Amino acid sequence: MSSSPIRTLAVWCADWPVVAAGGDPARPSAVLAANRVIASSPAARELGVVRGLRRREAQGRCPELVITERDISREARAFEPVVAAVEAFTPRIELTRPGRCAFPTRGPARYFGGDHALADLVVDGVSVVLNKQTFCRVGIADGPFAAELAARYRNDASSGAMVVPAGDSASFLAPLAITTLERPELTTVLTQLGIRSLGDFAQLPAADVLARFGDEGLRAHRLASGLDERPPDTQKPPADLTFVSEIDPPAHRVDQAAFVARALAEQLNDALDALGGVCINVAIEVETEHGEQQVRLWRHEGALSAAAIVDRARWQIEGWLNGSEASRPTGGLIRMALAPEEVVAAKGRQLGFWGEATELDERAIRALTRVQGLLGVEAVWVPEPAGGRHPREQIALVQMATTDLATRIENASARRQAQPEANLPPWPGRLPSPSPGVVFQSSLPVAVVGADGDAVAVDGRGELSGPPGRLVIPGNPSIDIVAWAGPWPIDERWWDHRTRRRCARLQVVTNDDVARLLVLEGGAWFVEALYD
Amino acid sequence: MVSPKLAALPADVLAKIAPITLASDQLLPLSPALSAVVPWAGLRRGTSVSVQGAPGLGVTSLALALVAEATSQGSWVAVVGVPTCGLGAAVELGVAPERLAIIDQPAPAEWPAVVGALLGAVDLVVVSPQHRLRPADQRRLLSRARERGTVVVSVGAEPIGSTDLGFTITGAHWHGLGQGHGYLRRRDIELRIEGRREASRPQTVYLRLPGSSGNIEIIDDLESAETGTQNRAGGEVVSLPVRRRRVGSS
Repeated sequence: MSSSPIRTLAVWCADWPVVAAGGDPARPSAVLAANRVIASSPAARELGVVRGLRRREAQGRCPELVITERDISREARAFEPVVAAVEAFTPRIELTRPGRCAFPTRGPARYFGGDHALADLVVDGVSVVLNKQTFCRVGIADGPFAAELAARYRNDASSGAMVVPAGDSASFLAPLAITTLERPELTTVLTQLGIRSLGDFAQLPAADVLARFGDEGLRAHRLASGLDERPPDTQKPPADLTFVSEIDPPAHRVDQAAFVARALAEQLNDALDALGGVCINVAIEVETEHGEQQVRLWRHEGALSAAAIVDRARWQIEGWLNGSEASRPTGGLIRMALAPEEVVAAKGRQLGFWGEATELDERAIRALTRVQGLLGVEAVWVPEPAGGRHPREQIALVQMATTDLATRIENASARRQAQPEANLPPWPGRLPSPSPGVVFQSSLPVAVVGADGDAVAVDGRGELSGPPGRLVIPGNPSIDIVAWAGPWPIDERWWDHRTRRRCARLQVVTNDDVARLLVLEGGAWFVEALYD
Repeated sequence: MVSPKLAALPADVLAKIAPITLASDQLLPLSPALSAVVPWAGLRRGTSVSVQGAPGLGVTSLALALVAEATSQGSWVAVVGVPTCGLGAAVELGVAPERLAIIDQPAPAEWPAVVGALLGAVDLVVVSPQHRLRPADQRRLLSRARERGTVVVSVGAEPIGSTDLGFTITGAHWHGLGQGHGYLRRRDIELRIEGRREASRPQTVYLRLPGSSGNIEIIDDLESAETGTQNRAGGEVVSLPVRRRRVGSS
């Protein structure tokens, strides 16, 4: 068996996105990302606004909800004072996302007199910084995963600490729900297979999990069993992968430091590329001209791209330079160093685990959400293939607020690979392509007359009373029809008198070279679409 | 333009952080038929494009065909104020529906704010303003689009300001419909392309929009395109001359 995981202390601050957004803690508020609630204040939770709701549902449950868009850099900046408070106990803090941080407890526990004492001290220190905006919980267990779950364990909305005795991680984790793994695709499959707790998952043989779910599944299995996520023979990166840059003259502004960070990050990624590895944990160290140092370890679930490293460097430096008087550095930055702490083999493009939307998509989604805010949710629509026989039905528009755009992108590309066009449902009676370019939202009433001036009708057998000669659009002179085809009668949904549609369609080309789709319904002719 | 503080950084750091834009980053891809007729074989980011023609000749389809290829390669397109946009036609012309957003026509007072919010965030914006834009608003819109790299395609009566690339459909001819038989198969259009710089010399091209595949195509059999062929055998094609339409005639 591998060596036991490192005993870790995890700090968890509740509802961090909401706290970072500011605002009155007593009012119900929520933070949204891509139209879904990711965090809500306690007042909002009482009214039923929980994680995962769409914007409309959340507003429906709580009309006076204050909604803010997610801004990760704001959350990271706001979290910096908390990290500074935790730094009093140990210099090397590991950050995964704003609101959570962790560090190994071996040294500090010995120094401060045991796990329980250390946990209480950390809770007190962080509570002072948080100043009643939210509560924080601390958990100590073997390994960062178990420690974080220990921190979130007894969520009775008060600060506190939970210490899991050494070696008891597996039994502590066993009764917890499988959704704590935070890998939604994996957990839905496991739930369907009847595996609902981490203990059930841990009891499966590792080889079978690897065969069925692959490498990701094996890592989740190791976590559920209370082991380290990666086997300890992960290569420790060689020392010459640390990239240092001297900044001269000292940088007093964040953007100057960010420039330097970008250059370093690209050097680091190039070097790692050459070794065939990617970094999942990087230590960013900055030093000022007066000798003040700050080092943070940043961990990311996927791989850290150069842009991601630069973002984290920016958050770290912003938080430091704009922090409280006590923690702010007294001089400019003269040195920056990036050192990869954990490197794993690169498996091609690592885009998050299950294929997320790219940055272009996220930018577009954000802008469309903003337009929604300007015009209202009923003004932004996205197409959804619905199926039907009429141009208005075949692809329907749905309000953007009611769908999840990121999943649509994943599904669409998956669908395009899996399903060739020939397998689409047939819809007999549908007009062949090409489809009309302009489809009127409500059909225009017109008159179609034959050469003798009488209106053209379609009899019960589906035959025209005579060839159509002229098209009369109200408000315009009549135009000659030079080519036509049809009628193509359809009788849809004859079993449901509300949605029954019985009509005949005609394609006509008039002497102004415009092609139209005419529909005879209820004895009257309409222009349904224009082949523009 | 390097600020003195940046210039003080060591030369190798400066070289690494200087932005490099590849020529290919400046161009949005076009479908093969259109890239054959557009001077740069693509849509330059930040330019303004206008598509005009009498209603019913193919203006909406051409606008959709212009944005289609880019969406299939990851770009987003927002269509503002074209409520009658035919989605089936969009998909047939190659637009990726998961990257298409349709926005209702904003009130004239909000129009600049809405379009401004989209510039830079999506790569292509199709607009059809029904109101008259003030010249100051037009200039601001176009300069912002240029700065942020979004292509603005304006559809309909009047182009916004002076455009970099202008398409005018001057004639059209449908094939496939007879006297009581057949169905609309394909349309040949006569297109005038003009604009600025490389496109400043107007040229007239013939394209098939839509072609038999549903997409926009080059016509390889030009004889049957110019006028309706007198091909009565099988009764497929009607003899219709391609009329030259002046822009603005109804």
